[in-house]
Amino acid sequence: MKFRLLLIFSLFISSLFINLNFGAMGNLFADNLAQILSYRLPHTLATAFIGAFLGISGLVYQAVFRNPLVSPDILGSSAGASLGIVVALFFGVNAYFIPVIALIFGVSCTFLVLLFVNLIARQSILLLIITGILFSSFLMALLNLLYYLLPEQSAIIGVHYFLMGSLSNLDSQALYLLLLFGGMGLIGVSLLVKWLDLFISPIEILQTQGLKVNLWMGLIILFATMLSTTTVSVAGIIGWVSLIIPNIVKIIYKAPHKVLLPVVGLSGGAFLLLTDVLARNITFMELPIGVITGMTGIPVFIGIMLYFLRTPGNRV
Amino acid sequence: MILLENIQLPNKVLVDLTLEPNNHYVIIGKNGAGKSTLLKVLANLLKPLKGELLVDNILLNKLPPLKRNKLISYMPQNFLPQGFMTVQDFILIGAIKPSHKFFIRHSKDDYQLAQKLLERLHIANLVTKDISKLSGGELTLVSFARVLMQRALFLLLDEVEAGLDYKYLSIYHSVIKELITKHGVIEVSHNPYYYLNLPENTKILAICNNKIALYNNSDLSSELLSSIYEAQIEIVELNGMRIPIFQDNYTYNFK
Repeated sequence: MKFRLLLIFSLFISSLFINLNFGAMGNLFADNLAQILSYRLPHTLATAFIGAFLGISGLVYQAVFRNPLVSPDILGSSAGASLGIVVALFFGVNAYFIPVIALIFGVSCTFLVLLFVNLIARQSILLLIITGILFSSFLMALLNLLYYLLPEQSAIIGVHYFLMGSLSNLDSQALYLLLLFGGMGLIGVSLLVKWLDLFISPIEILQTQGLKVNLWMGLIILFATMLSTTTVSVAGIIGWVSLIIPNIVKIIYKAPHKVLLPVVGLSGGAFLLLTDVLARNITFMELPIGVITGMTGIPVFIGIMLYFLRTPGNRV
Repeated sequence: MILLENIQLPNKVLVDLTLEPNNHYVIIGKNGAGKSTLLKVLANLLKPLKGELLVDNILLNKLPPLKRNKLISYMPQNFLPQGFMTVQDFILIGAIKPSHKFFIRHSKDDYQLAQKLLERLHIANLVTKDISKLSGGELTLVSFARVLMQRALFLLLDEVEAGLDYKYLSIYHSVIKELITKHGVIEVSHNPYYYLNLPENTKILAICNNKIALYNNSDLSSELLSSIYEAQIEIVELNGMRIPIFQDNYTYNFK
């Protein structure tokens, strides 16, 4: 276990250096190192945080819903957050309030989906996913409509960045926002990490024990949503990272959440750092990161779905 | 004690009962009669259609969480664990009280009790094993240990003995015998061989024709059992044991 932890940590550190090394202005061995670092370091660090936050938020969602196929972008919180952000930007809201608005919209969308599913069938794994995807698609359609009706304003605001997910605008301000709001979410999730393990058993057991399951569940979802919506507010919807990274880690590490949490954070960071290098260098121009994560994420999602459905005892 | 006054369960079964500690109740009835439903209503997981559940003149659903924790513990039928956790950590979940806040810390007593329970159930070798790697029977025993960890006055057990082999069945019986000196045990069983041979003061709650009837263990006759299960059952005495013999009317004739 120690060895594997060391391995993932060194993978993360090397991803950091690889990400710092490649770029338009030359590599780390160039003469203008200070200049490159001042420009590129915030971008690299922010990318690492975004990857880590996405991975951890997915891990939390999957634990709380006892369902390996959910994540903040599947349950509608990312789409809700980006709609909220775009609307706020149209009204010219200050940048420091954007993550707050993203959180409010994201959380309310997730709870709307949950409310809807609870009204119909409480325990259905499949219905939760389908409702979330339908809800997300509806919100994305609204965003597209906005983009279509108001093309000039949308271009100034950068609506397409939120639709596709992009790491090209990460500066030190984005890093501060991530540290401030993501940091709060991370602290909250870390404090509640032992509660995540409790959802290993059916919720009804915890309820008869007199534990306020709904309260703790709501609180954990709130913190996890805070992590994912903060990434949306600086980089748009980077899909699938929050779904695939926790699942891959859980196939390799069979451990309680206090171990899974840092490992998923480091792996998510490393994954996004490397994907970012790919997005910036695979063609002559920078590709939106969401395109690359989507193209790698969906095949992995199908694999996980098949693995999950073939495990005896799992129902949809 | 728990008072069920003119309760109508969600599946329309009428219940009028008083459940007291130091008693062993076995709920029986055919498939779909509402045995598990009754347990869930007692566990406050399902609301009855009509009637009230009273505990010392307080409504069960109005009971403060800590009091409920000390009053009722519930073990559902087997479940699939979603995640990874050692057996010890899983059992310790049972010790978590509603008063726990952000941090969950277990006392030394909790660890000692968990160890004692594992030894009492003869599964001490599983302590560090991961919960997702247990067999069905092992998971049942571990789950049973978790329920005991809660130390509630009443234990609601849903078909515990169904997945156990003979060694663990006898261990389970001896634990239940010990339990009813201080606690009330309410369990669902499908196994007449098991409940027919329990001590005479065991109470049988038979669900039949949308009603629930209370019998003493010794009251159960061949006719009564036949009418409850809607099948031909004869009770035969052999070496002081009461053995149910089924008349098999449903076997398909392949010729």
